[in-house]
Amino acid sequence: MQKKFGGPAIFLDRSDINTDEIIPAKYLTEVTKEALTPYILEDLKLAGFDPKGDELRNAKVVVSRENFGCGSSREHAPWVFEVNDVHTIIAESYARIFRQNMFNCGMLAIELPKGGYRPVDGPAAARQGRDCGRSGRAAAHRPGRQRRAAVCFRDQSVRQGAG
Amino acid sequence: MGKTLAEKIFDAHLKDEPFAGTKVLSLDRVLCHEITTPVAIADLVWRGKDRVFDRDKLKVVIDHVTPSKDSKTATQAKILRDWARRHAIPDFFDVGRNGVCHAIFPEKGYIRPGYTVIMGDSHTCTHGAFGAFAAGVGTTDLEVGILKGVCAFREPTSIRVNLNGELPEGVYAKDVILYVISQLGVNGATDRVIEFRGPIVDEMSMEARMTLCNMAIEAGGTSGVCMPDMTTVEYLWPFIQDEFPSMEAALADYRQWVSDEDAVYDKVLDIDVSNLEPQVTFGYKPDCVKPITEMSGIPVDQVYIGTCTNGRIEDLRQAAAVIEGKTIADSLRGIVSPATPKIFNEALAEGIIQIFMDAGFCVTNPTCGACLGMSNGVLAEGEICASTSNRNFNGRMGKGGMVHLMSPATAAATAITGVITDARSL
Repeated sequence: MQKKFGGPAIFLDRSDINTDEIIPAKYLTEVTKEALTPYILEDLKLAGFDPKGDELRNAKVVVSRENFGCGSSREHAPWVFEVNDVHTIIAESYARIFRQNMFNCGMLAIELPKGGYRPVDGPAAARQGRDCGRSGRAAAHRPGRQRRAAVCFRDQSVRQGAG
Repeated sequence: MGKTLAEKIFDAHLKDEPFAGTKVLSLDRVLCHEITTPVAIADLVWRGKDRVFDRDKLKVVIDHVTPSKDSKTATQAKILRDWARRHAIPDFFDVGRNGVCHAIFPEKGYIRPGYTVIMGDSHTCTHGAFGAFAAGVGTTDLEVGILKGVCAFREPTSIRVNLNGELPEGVYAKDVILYVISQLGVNGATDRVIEFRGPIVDEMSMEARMTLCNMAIEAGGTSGVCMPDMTTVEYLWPFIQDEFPSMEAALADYRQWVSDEDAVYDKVLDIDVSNLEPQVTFGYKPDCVKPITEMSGIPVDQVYIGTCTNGRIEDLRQAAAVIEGKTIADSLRGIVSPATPKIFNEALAEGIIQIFMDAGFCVTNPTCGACLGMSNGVLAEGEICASTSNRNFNGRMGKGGMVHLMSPATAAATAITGVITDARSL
């Protein structure tokens, strides 16, 4: 099945979001990826974030700050995003093992420049584009006005205001 | 230009460089436990590639949840057990002979200077204490390692941490590494190897060096490493005496891996530990560290002594020395998990187990246990644990629970008083 890398984005405005927050160890007794689905980000405590809420359920892209995925080597962490149809993460930096696990799972770990995290007001969307050469396009919008960010697949960078 | 230990190991194991900066290395050890390996095994079977690259280089243990606690963990153990039998893997450690992976594998002499080691476990960096390049990987990389005996890495640069001065009495390797992490930050060593150097490390036992290297990942490090020396040779001697005519010959061979004096480092950190106090974490990140004087008096509900960081015999001795003749506070539970059967036996012979039991501790079988909240010793919402483990992430030991990381001596003193306590004050 072909993966889609675009769609609505959820912003997790904190550095060092760790693998225990992404998928707590008590669920590592599961031996299939699919069984992890309901437990995504269950232990993440962040103002305005609800691990059971619609914003996460609809999200296809996660945007965060530094050192995303730090801690354990558990591949269950990228898997729980994968089974929830989140194949793209955009963050300022990643923990080594998590980044490698995402690569191995055929997911996109887009690295922003340091300090490049700038959330956009209102519900945001990132959309796969069609005309950026080999790049995709991510868009973040407010009602009535759409703002976009283009994701270049070649060097996995992000440019804002492309739309 | 000279080379670091990591660069020398990369050069000696290089199989391929598919793109700039990414190196495929041959592996000397692929270590396996029952949490991350079963999915790799299932995938290999599904692909019709249920093979292993070299059964003698695979070392396998059940350690995270043992004996199994329910049907799911029993299934994980069974998948690993059946696989080890199917491939006649000689070094497989099941219930009764099993212990925490990062304690039992070094103890069996499986890790040698110059080796490349992977495991589906982030604390694999522990094995760098022997002058090996040892890195945690995910299940996919582990699967490739099991099948092909190779693993791809971005070549890391190195950070050199020089530990100078004199370690004060009552201050241990755990205090040193917590302080180092507080200086580097939780991602200060990402894509880097941390070299622990200097007179403090030279004087440390292999157990203490493993404590240092164990927590390299908590600063984001790919591996922690110590330079192989006579301490390394003496530890390994029972396992290598047929390979070398003398200890000096073994040392001469192992010294080839030592970083050259003109090796290039990404960063050099000079730390004088002469005035270091016992260190304790606050908050939910391992770089949130304060000296004990600023943390004393915080009440805790549980004390946990054990794990791949501090479950070795030296750690139990340090804790027992504080506890001997005393009893733990009524307000808390004390749990001790010796990291391996050998350590358990030594602790029995030395009377250490008796000291813990007389004090009111629960002594468990060797296991990862309470550390990651998936086996015994789980915290309830709002509870606090003083622990000798390596991670204080929110909910790590149970949803809504909090963990303060500290040395075995500090944990022991805390068990007696019921509040975080400097062992030197008792």
